[in-house]
Amino acid sequence: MSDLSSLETTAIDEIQSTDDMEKLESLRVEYLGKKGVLTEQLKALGKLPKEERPAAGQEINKVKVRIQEAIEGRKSHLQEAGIIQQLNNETLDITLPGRGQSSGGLHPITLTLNRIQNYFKQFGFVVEEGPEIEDEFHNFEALNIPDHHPARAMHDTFYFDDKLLLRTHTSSVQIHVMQEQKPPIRIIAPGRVYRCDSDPTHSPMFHQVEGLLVDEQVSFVDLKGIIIDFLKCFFDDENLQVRFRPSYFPFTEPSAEIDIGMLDKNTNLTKWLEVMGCGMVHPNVFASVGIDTDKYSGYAFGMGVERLAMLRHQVNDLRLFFENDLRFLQQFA
Amino acid sequence: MRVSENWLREWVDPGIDTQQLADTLTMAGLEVDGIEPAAPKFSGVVVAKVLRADPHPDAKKLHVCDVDDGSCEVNKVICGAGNVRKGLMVAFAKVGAILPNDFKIEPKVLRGVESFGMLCSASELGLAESSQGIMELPEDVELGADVYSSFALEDQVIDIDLTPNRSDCLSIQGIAREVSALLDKPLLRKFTTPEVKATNKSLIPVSIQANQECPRYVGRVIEGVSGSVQSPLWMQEKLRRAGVRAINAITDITNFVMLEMGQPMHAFDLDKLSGGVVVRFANKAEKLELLDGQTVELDRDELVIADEKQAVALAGIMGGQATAIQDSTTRVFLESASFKPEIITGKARRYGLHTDSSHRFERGVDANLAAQAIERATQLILDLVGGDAGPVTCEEDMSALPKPAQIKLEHLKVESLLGIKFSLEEVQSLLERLQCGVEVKKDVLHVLPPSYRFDLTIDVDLIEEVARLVGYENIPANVNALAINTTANIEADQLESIKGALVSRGYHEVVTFSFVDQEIDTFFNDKNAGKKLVNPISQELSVMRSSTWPGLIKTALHNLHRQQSRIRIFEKALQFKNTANGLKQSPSLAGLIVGDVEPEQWGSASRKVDFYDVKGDVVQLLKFSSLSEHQISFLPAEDAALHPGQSAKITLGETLIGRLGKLHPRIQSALEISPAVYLFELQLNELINKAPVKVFQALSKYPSIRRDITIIVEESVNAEMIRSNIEQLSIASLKSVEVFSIYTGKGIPKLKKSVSLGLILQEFSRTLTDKEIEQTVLLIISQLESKVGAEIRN
Repeated sequence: MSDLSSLETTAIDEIQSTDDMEKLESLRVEYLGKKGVLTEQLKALGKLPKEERPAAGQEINKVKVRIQEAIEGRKSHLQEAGIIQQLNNETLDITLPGRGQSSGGLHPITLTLNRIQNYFKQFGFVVEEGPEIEDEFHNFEALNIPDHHPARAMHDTFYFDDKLLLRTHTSSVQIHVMQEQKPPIRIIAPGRVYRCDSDPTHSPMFHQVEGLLVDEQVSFVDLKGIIIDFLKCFFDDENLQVRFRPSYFPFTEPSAEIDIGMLDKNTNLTKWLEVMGCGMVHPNVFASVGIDTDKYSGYAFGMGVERLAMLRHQVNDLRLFFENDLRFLQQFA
Repeated sequence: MRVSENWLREWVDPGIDTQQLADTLTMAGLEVDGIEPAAPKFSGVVVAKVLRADPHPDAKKLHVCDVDDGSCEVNKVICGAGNVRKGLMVAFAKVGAILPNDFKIEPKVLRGVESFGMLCSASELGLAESSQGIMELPEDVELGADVYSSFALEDQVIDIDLTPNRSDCLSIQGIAREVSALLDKPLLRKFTTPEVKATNKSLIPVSIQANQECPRYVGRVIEGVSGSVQSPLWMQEKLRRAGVRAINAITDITNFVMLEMGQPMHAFDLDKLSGGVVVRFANKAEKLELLDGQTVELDRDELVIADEKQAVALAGIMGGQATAIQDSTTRVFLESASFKPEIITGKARRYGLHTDSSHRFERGVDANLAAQAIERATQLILDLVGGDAGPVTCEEDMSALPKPAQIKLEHLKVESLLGIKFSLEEVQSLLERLQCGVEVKKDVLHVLPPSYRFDLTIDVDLIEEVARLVGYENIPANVNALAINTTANIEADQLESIKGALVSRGYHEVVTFSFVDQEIDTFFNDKNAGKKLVNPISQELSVMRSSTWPGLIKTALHNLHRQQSRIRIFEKALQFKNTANGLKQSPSLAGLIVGDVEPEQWGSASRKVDFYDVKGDVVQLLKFSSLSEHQISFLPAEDAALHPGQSAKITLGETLIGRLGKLHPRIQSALEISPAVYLFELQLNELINKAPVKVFQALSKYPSIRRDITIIVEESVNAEMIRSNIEQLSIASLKSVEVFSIYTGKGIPKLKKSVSLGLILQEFSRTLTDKEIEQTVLLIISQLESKVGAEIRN
């Protein structure tokens, strides 16, 4: 019996010191296989006297189970160690940058335009775009700016030799829309406009958004309502100060300029910044497109996109928008 | 319009301080641009008289002066001004005086001579931007008087940015009238001016040959004057604060009356006029030397004032040099006329002029002012210069004069336009505050605006006045959300998706000018395609671009010059083309890539962009317009702007929807760009919303089979030829054909290439048999053999 006991000790030692699965398998074959040591011992039981056989058989089987358990234990130990080894081997420097394309970005003017459009789209305003090369009718006459009007000189218009011109405002889109559509009308017209003026605070090309609503029973209080709400949304400021101030545009009456209040940190006083113009559509404009003023009224508003973008993003130089320096553009990506 | 607050307060007492007054004006539509003191603070400067001015013994340009400041002592002062002389009245800064910018006057020694004080120039006192010599004060000022207080410098100048409809406010009287109406305060003075009786019979004939353009012309002769007389200090200061230079008393008086009443006037030296005065249109190429020294060549559409011989003034804009008031002038002819805005507008600009007179006439001047103004000016001349006046000559055509507007205002319209209720009485009283005549009949107000408010012509003009007087801030805002009005706006969405795709592929959006350098534009289009501006900002911004590429290339250059080696940009913009069918303005989306495909990174090898990168991007974009790759063809195209072997036109059926390729090396070197540039340009009108609605195709339950074939073809056979020839067979079970390998070199004959195709076959309702597959592949092979000369490679 001491044979069996020393056999077990040897086997367990061998199993516990094995470091790889193949060796472990050969140990299993050596001890437990068809021709293994313990199998041979079981076969040899026949040589023992009959009454000794059960006890001896039991002993051998116990050893067999213990060796088996040792092999299984070692096996799962080696498997676990293998996974840990694999994990160690596969560990990366996850602080290195990821692979692939860097993404670009939209121009801050587009971001600003989107912000404006998204607001008005919620109220069913449809985006309309008109031509940039215009005729005098759409840009001036139909907007109640006749030939001799001083407002024409103030517009610093770019002309072509065939009396066509570059639109000086997106208000011209109003006329196209009212010529083609019947009220009720709700549109906003974003786009490029042009004035023959170039210095650090004036660009010969810039962007405006025009808005127009024509319907029955539209009044100045409605105009005030939507504009104040828009500006609060645009500037993310529920307490934004907004004021309407009488002004003059040939195509609206009454007309207003809209200022927002900004606290001047030096003086602690409210500084008013002009951000938009608006008013009730002038009857002469309706007449030029054949809309019945007894039935319909409407309001129009317009804003300079660069100005709003500069205020929101604290850009201090208008020219940056058109230089398209990637270091500038990347800041808005 | 620059308004001296003191001057304004002579006419109306607003009962509020300067800032409140400015706020009131701004909130009434007379936007205050700024408030500045009439002069910076200074002290210790008094009126003095130069008793003697002797040359400095040791300095050529200096004088040693004795100055009497009214006190017992005579002050010794060194003065470097060229105009210092005995008898001159001067502004004398005594020792201890503090001038603007905290400049203290102390005793000094100049080249060995002591000096106690300083004789001041206007600029040293902050009364002018620059000045030549010291100030010469009028003789009538009191010796020793404090200059700051006797000039009444404790005053603010309020700068008002008037809208073009409010020409009635281009005068102190006009602003006073407005303040009176806004604050409901009485006017302190009457606007009417008493007639000045004629004391002689001098007059010259006036005739108007352009009644419509000049419906009224009032003139008057004043004799026995002197052109050399200077206007008094108080008048010079009023002019200065309004931004008008003092010249001589007669000219200053005409300007003063203009500033006070709003009527531009002109004074002619009567002795320089030949015969009477005629208001007529200029003759072609008629010449006139203007007061500013320029000689202009006139046109037939310009109105002039002429004598018997020639034009002597550009009507309503500027007088002529030849008949200007001079020191020697002893007889003047005063003009106070009405010119229609239409005849003045734009004319001053032709000669680069913008005068106080043209500014007012372009906006309109109340015709009733002409007669009043000439009385006021006459009285001032008689008072300040002397002389005796002849009778007033008035030529007018009543039928050409503007008619007062009779406006009917329905009471209810006020509420319907403004959205708040006003009683009939409120509306009436507000309008009456503006000096409108109001008569109420039932619910209608019959309104007669005052003659100077010719901007009020229809009912909505009156409603604006009501709103203005009440204050826009007192009209509520209706914050109720608008009624729902949904309208699908798919177009913008599809474009936004395309832009988003570009952004995620590394492109930055740019915005560049629509006008470009013609030289660069012609690289990308026909010479005559671009539309040229008549008045461009510069030659580099003179032609409307016919392609979006010039702006992108300029932007790429800007960034390449700033150490950016990898550039991916796009722009959405209109293109402008002169075509046989007229001007075309069509939206385009264009892009440009230069440099490495990806930003430099450790994880993949760097590679420069090539044709297939830009093409890959374009194909992905097209998917966002819902067009699939298979609807679109990329065909070799001749394009002067692009590399002939690396360019393609993009078509959808028969329609050209874009182009792409490598910038032609010749243009690249002409523009001095070193790395290769790849470009694309898509016509959005042909692209957006052009795809039909996608219709679901049922999915086959049976397996798809792949067969690969490799063919050898001439190098000139392109992938599109292979694809379209296979497509021609219209094999229903052929689901797709992909080129997965192109090979040239060892084992392939010269000028040939091997092309490997993967064919995916699938039948909807059953599994394809081997035999069917075999037949289909053979059919394809034989088509390629006969159509593109393919040989099968084993």
